[in-house]
Amino acid sequence: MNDCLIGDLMEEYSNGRSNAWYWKQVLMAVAIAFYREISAHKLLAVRAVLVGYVFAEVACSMLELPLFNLLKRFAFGSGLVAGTRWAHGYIYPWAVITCLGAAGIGWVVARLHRSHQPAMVFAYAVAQLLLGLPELCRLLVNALDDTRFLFSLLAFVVVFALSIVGTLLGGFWGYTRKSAPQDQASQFSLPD
Amino acid sequence: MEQMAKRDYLGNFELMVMLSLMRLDENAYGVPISREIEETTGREVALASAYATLERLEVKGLVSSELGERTSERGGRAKRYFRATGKGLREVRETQRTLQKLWHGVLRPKANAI
Repeated sequence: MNDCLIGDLMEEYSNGRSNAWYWKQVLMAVAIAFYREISAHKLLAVRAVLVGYVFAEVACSMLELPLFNLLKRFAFGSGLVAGTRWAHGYIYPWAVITCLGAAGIGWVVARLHRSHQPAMVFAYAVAQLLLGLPELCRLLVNALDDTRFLFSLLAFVVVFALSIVGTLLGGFWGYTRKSAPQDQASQFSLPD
Repeated sequence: MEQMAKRDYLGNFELMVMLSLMRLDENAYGVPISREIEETTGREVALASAYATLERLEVKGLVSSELGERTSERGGRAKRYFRATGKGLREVRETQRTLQKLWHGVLRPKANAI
């Protein structure tokens, strides 16, 4: 069915549909495919979210502080964040740790759900996004109330976005192909 | 009391897809089906959602499909032609009858409502 859908998209594109239409349809096709796979395997998706959450909690409690201190020493020792106040400079090691940690968790989720890897990593990333929304709203309200909190909001948005990108990259890194002869990404490339 | 038969009614989009492929007859594949719905409703249709619906209808036994020719404009990929099965046609007629029964009376506004 997938092959026919890609053929239809290419046919429509070659009949004069715009690039925006094409990519919108591709994104919708990916979203619908993930939604269908997740709703067909709800329990597995719940397990993927729980596994990711537990690993994130364990990693945070065991590694976050030592890594943070290590990176803090490195960042200041190498002069990487020279000239910035630590109150602002802490975002660099924090962002690196979050991105690496999220990538590791994405990898674990992908490896532990081999039968439906992309969909389960996506499910965890969506759960991560939803779990972060209350904090985002709180910071947004604070920033609207007082511009002093704007930096906190920006720092959170950067780190939040990096953690989701990290999760997806980690999931991609842990992705093992079953017997796919065709590259999924190249299937959606624009026709000549 | 008469036992009511348990059955799944066609959803709104499912009915649109069924009617479109019945109108298109021999030429019913993804592109014309979604175009038909777009032209009739004036709303953009995601090809993927049309395919998802067609796949669901096929699982229910309401449509059947077969692969067609491969063309260069499709990057050498085949078309999948869909056709309503006998069960599918009966289901559409039943839905039409049910909707007509429900509409009956709705179209006649009461005098004091105007």
